[in-house]
Amino acid sequence: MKILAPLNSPEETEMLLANGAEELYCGLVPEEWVARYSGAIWLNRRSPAGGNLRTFSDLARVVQQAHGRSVPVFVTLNAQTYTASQLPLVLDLARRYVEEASVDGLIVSDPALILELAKQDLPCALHLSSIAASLNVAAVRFFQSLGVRRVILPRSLTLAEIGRIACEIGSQIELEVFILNDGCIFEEGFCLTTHHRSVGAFCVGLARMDSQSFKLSGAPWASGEEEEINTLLQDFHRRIDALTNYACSARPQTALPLAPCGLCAIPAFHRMGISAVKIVGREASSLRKLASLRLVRAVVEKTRNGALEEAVQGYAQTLRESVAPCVPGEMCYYNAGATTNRSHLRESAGRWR
Amino acid sequence: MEWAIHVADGSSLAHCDDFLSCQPRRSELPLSDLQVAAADVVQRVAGPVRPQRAYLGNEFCQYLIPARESFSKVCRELWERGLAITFLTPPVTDAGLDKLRPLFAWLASQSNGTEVVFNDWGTLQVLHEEFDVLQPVRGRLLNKTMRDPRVTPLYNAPDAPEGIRASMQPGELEMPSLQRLLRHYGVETVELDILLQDSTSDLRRLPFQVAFYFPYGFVTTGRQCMTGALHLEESERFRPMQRCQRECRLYLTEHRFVGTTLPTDGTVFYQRGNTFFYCPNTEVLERFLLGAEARGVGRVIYQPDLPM
Repeated sequence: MKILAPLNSPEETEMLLANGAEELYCGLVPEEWVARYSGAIWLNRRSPAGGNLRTFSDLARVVQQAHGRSVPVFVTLNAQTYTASQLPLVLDLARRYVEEASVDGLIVSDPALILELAKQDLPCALHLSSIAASLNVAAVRFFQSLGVRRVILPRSLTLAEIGRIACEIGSQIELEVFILNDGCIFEEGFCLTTHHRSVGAFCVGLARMDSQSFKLSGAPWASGEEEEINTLLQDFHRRIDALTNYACSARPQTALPLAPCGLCAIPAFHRMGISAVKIVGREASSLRKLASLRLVRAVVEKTRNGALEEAVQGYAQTLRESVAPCVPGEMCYYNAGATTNRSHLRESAGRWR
Repeated sequence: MEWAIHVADGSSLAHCDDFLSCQPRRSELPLSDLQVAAADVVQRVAGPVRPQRAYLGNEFCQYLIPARESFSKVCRELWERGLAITFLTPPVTDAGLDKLRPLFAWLASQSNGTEVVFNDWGTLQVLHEEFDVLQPVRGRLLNKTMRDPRVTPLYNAPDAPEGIRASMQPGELEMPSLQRLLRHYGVETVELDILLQDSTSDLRRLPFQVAFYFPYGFVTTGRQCMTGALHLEESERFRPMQRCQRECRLYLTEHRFVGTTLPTDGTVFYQRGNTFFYCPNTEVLERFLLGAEARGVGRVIYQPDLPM
C-alpha cells in the first residue's frame, strides 16, 4: 500500500519524496487552455491558478526528481466531461504529459476521453478518478474493460463497501482510496456545479442562501416540527463546513489539516490489499502538504510494522486529537474507529463549531 | 415525439390518466406555481397530450428501490393502462445492485425490451451481462454537462468567450467513440435535462433517441441525505448508510441564491431528499417545447412532482 501525495510546484517534490511520498500526483494547466477557457472551465478538478503546475518544464522537473527515487507521477485530466471541441487539445496535452514529461499515469474520468486515450496507446497507465463514481464491483469491471489500470474509489463508500469491492475484484485491478483532507457532502461525480471563485462551491454557499422548508402535503406544521427542520438545516451546513475543511482552514501553528480523514481505516485497507492511499489537496500550502504526509506516513508505518488494528486506530486518533475533532460522523470518511470510545472527543469537537 | 409520465410509485398512478390536470394539489407550496406553469406550457404548445409510457421509480437514491412485490404490482397496473414501462435506477453500491437484480429478473421474465434507465456504469454492465433482453437507457446523471444555474446562463451569454459558451453544450454524445461504446452495450436512448444555458444543438445528428425531463433538472446529488437524517441523533446524521424513513416524501426545502450582484441572483434551488433541482422559467420551457420536434427530441418525460 503506497502513500500518494499531491503537489502543485516543482519545489515541493524533494520535500515530499524525503518525507515518505511513494507516489505523486499533480495537474498542469498550460497557457493555451487558459487562453481558450479562462478560469471558468477547469481542465481538471482544481482551478488553473491554485492547484496546478503551469509549464511542461515544471512537470518534467517533477518527474525527473521523482523517477530518481523510483517514485511514479500521475497527472490529472479528470474533468467531469470534455466536449468534442475540447477533446483535441486534451488529447494533445495527454500526449505531451507522457512524451515530453514522461509521466507514469493519467488520472481520468470521462469515458469518452478514456476511449480516445486507449486509441492513442500512450505508454502510461490510466487511473480512474473518483469523479467517475465507481460505486460497485460491476462499475469497476466496466472501466477495467475500457483499459483502466487503477480505480480511485469515492470516499462516500463505507469501509464494508470498499471491502466487498476489494474482495471481489481487488486481485485483478489496483484500487486507491482517500485517506486525508477535504470531503464532499455530495457525490463528486454527480455534482455538476462549479467551484469557481465568483460564486464559490455550491455546498458551502448553501449556508448563505435564503432557505425555507415546506411540508409536501401542504398540511400545517405540527408543534416543533418546523424548528426541527430548521435545526436539521443548520446541522447540514455545519457538516458541510467540517467536510470542506472549514473553508480550507488549518491551524496556523502547525499547518496540520483541520479536515476529515480515514486514518483509522489504514489497517483495514492494508489487509484488503488496497494499492494506494491518497492525500487530497494539490492547492494546499507546502507546509500543510508536509504535515499531512507525515501524519499519514506515521500511521502507515505503524501498520506496516505489524501493530494491532486497535492500537493503530488509537494512535491515529491521538495524532488527530491534537489538531482536529476526531469524532465519528464529524471528521471521518469511513468511521472505521467508531467502536473506540471517543466520547471525550465529542466535547472537544464543540470548540470547532 | 413520445410523451412519458414519471410515476414514483403506486401512490402516483393517478398521474397517468390525465397528467396535466393532477396539479395544483398543494397551493401553499412554491412548487405549485411551477407545476401549474409547466402544465400550462404543455397545454399551450402541445395541446392535450396523453402519455404512451411511464417512467417508474427514482434516479437518485438506492433506498427508494422498490420491493419486488410492490414493483410488480405497479408494473401490471401500468401495463393494464396500456403504458410501456421505463424503469428508473439510481447510482448504486453493490447492495443496491443486489436489490435491483431481482427486479431486473422479474422484468426480463415478463417481456422483451422493457427499458431500464442506468445512472451507474455498473448497472449497465449488469444489464449487459445478465439481462440482455432489457433495453438500457443512459440516464441524465451520466450526462455531465455543467448544470449550475448560478453561472451557466452567464457562461452561455452572447458576450461570453466562444470556448466557454461551447463548453456549456452537452457535446460528449457527438464523439464517435462514446457512440460506439453505448451502441455496443445496446443503448438506443439517452436522457438529458433542459439546460438553463439554452441548448439548441441539433439532436438529429446523433445515433440515439434523445429524451428530456420536463420541467425539472438536477443539479447535484449524493449519499449524505439531509432530510433522511431528520429522525437521527446529531452524531448519526449525514452518513452514507444512515437509516432513513423516507422523509424525502414529506418535506421540501427551497434555497434562494442571494446577496450577489450577479444577474443570476435570486435563482431558486429545490432540495428534496438527497438531491437538488432547478426549474427553468416558462419562457425556456416554452422555447424548448416549440423547438423540440425540429431539433429531433424523441421523447419528453413529464414530471408532475420533483422526481423523488
